Amino acid sequence: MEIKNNTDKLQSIIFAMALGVCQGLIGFPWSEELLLQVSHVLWILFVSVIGFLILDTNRISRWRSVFFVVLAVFFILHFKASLIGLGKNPFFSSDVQEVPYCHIAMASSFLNYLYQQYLAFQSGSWKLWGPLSLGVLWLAVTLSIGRAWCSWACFYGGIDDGISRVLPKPLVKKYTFNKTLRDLPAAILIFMTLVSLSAMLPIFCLWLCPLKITTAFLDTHSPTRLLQIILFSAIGISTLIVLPLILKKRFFCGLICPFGAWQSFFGRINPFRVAIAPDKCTQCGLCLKSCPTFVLNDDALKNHTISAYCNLCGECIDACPQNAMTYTLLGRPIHLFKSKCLTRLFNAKTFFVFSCLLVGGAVGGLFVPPRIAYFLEVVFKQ
Amino acid sequence: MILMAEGFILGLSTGPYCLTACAPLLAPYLMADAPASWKTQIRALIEFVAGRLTAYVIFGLTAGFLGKNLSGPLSAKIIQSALIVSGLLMLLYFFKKASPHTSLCAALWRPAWAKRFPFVLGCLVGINICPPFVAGLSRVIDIGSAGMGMLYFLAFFAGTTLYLMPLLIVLPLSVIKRAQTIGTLMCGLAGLWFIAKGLLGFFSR
Repeated sequence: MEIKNNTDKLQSIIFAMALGVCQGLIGFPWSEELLLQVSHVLWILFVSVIGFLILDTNRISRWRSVFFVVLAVFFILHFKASLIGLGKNPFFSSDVQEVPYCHIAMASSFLNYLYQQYLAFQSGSWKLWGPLSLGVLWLAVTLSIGRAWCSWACFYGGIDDGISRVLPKPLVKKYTFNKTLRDLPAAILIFMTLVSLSAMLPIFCLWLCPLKITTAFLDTHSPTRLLQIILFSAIGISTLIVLPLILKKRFFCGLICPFGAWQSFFGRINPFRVAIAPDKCTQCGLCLKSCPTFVLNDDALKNHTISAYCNLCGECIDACPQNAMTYTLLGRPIHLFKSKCLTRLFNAKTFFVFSCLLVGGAVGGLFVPPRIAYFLEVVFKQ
Repeated sequence: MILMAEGFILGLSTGPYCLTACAPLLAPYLMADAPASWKTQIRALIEFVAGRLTAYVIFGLTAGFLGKNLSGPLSAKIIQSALIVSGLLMLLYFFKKASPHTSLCAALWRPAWAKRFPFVLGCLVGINICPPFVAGLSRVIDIGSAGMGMLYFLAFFAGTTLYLMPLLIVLPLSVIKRAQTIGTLMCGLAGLWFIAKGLLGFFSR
């Protein structure tokens, strides 16, 4: 037994080390100053430790959420603090004070981006082809982790994920949920895409997105501006704070975010899925209760099917007492080797977790290390 | 003849904007509507286009007849009101689709106009705040003749209608149950959006 545990630990360490090495190869700032390099090492260590804990404890969503919340907190800290002059400018240019890459804005203003690209091609200036390169980046992320972006790498998602975990039990346990509401993000996405093109403005960002409080300070100079702030503050307070707190569900990610709908459509090109093993499932419904984004329902459970809206957070996998739910590659768990020892290291779950932490780590690498470097600088100066 | 050509060219050159102005109202409606057949859907689109034509003719006649008397603030008020009514209609349609058995919904949906919903919607969209339309309107006010105004807007209509054809791609989607649900939810969003837009238009003046 002891030997088996040691082997498991060793495998988890190998997994974490491989993750750390790949993280380093992807984005280590070799030419930057020492403090930033130290911060990067700390971040890589953190991601590797999360990988180790997931494999060692087999509690996927618990450790994923720690990583996810840290990502969101550092994102807010970095952008908000930079706006008041604490640290370097986080934006690509001082002229355009927008988040360098907001996937939610891109999805809900997709037709505008296409139109801008058409104009950019017409102009012949390659410098204007920015959204195209962001499109390539998005494609790479979607091919790597698909819909899992929303639970493993989105720098906003950790907000309602974190808040939904503050209380040990939901304050309201019995409520009815209309299944059709799960399609609201798709409706918001298509409608916002159309009105954004009509107005030539990112309407979702201007009117509904509460997440821009993480990256900007807002003026109330005109009645329209005031109304916009009231509206998205109300949406933010209700769907990012109050409802996640009392129901322990990720309301914004599950029922509002248009990028979630976008990714659930295009994310199908990615092979990773969550699947239910019909022979193991006892229909106990624990997965249904634990699902934070309203993906599972009675019908799905009866038919052992998972909706395309699933963002592979792993909550249902952790909750299932029968181990009936698991990550798969196109519905298959994948066992490349006959040896049990190697199977534990090379299966659909480890491939998936590895990809997600690699992508999430690379995304976090853009803003977590600079913020750690700033804190270290402040501490060492004192 | 030259005037008609001018209206047609204005319609052709600014038609994409007409598509973007109409799509937020027409696309949700076409998606949400579960048709008995494609013919019913195409008939709905034709009714919508006929509604636009009627609105253009009436507006062309009125603008040409009133000439300079049709002041900016008055036309702006008509446009904002049309937006609010369009929004209310879309909300009503949303409630009809979401809970068709509610007594209020059934009562509101009974009148004859409700059976010609796409036509009414087309009329209201026809007098929407689309900039090409406003450009045409100012030209007709300058002309100051009812007949010429009507002809100008007929030609303008012909130029812009070509651009509504891409909306036909929505039709095959409406047979999918999930697309209908999404379309119904979009109708609700469209209702709220156009009411808010119309009210803001009133208050910002």
